[in-house]
Amino acid sequence: MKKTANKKLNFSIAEIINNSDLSADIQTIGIVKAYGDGVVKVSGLDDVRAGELIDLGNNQFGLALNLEKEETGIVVLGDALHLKAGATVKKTGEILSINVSDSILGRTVDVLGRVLDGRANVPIGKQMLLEKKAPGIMPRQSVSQPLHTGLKAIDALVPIGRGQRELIIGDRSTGKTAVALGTILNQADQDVVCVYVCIGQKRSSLAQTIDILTKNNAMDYTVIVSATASVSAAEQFLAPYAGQAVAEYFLEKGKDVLIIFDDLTKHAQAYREISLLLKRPSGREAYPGDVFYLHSRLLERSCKLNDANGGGSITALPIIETQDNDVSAFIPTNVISITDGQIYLESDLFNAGMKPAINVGLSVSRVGGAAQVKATKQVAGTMKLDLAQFRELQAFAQFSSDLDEKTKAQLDRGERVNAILKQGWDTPLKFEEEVVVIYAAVKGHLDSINVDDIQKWEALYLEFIKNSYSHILKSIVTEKKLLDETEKELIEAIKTFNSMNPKLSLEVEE
Amino acid sequence: MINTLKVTATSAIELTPKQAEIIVNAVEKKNTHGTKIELSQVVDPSVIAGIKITIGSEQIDATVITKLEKLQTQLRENI
Repeated sequence: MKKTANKKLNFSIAEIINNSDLSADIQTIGIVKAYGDGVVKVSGLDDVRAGELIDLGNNQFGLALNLEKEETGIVVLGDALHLKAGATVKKTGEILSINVSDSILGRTVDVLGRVLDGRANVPIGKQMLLEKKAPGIMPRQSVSQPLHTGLKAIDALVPIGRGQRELIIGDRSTGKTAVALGTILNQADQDVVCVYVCIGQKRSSLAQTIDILTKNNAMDYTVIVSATASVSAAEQFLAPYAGQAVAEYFLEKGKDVLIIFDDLTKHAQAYREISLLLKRPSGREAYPGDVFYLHSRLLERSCKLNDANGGGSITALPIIETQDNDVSAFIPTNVISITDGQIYLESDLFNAGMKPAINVGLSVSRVGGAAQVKATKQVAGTMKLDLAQFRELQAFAQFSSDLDEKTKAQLDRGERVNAILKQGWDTPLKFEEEVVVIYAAVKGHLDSINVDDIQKWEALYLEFIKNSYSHILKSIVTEKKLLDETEKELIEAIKTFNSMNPKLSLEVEE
Repeated sequence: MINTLKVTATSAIELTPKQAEIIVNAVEKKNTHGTKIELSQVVDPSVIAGIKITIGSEQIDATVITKLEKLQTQLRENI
């Protein structure tokens, strides 16, 4: 029994040995002159191309970044502790690329496409170049289709369209990643492929993220490209490009892709580290001169293609972490100017219990309005203005206790509209649900409800609508707008619901 | 100024003068610049057998140790 098993094994090894390619070919080599801080200085290496992959031996690779007359500067991907002065490195002739195939969905890979989740390798598919020119002007189309985040505050006030680049900016722990993850969760039945790029984060955070996505069955349509804080700066620098290459693979298939860069501040810092070690001249905040181009060439690759080119799209949600709410620092201003708008999260709002902590006044979406569903537009049209007025009045009302009836009513309304925007990031709503909830708030049907009970009211109300008035939701989905008769029915539904739940209402004061 | 092309031949045992001449002639055929060829020999028993020739920054590695290494990686990939 054992003997036959051995025989079989021996045979297959013999076959591999016979088929293996051991021929000696001409290779271009370089001699290591110095190695330190992840940068190798090499002499020789004739005809090396910029961005070429260099074989450092021991199954480690480097990236040729600085080409000079006498020597080449190579950054190490991974670690190359085996290198000694005088060691030889080889040219591979390959420009950096990542292997992508359909079965990459649900996997966690590093920048070179090596799997990190302990499962089998990703089957050979297509080699996607990490650095690629963004699509030109002709194949593009303007943003026309919404990408629902499932968060009322974003979908109503700063709508995101497919192909848009919307920055998520805020201090540490203001719920930036939560907004991005909530958006991934909401893409479950939207036929959108999600790519989550993790740059310079703690491994524990990434493990948590993967855990959340797996538990919510979101990994089925998600790819994670990981460069955690413990990998080399070179890998962190390449991670967003690798993510974009994965996204482009699905774009070529005409799919809609959502890509999240978490976060680009760490990316810029990794690039600064490499640049300083390569002795490139530094500028403001010690960033090199091309740090703007670093992000612009990355985010330019997000696009909405026209039907002749497959009609796919890449929607990018880059994340930037600010220090002490300073949006005028170098990297934040750079990325704000590249993107088509930003979602500004504030720690004060977050601490006040406003979640998501979106500052409505400072958040904008420059192109998403065109993509917003008409029904949402109908109900959220004046909401931004109302909320702005409410904030102004609120500040004013702090000084006087005696308010006229009109101001008081406006304040009450504002408070309720504000409260209705509160939402857990892991409970995304469908857009038709958002429409019926926001409608109730902006049309004053919540004025009689206790502010503290709004969340409870919302949950019960949605349940009630789904059970008894589901045709309203269906009508909104099919018509994409609120028809007059649907509106009448909705008013009736809200009134019936409010009369059924008198407990939630304010006690009438005399 | 006469440029010289540095050629290094690494082998496990010392080359015979005849073998060295063959190498120089072979390199000369490839060398179109007409520069002088300077052959230096390195004896390194760790290559086991075969020869490794380095011409400028080009290398032709036909040593047994490299072949074994190649075999090792290919076996690892396939098993």
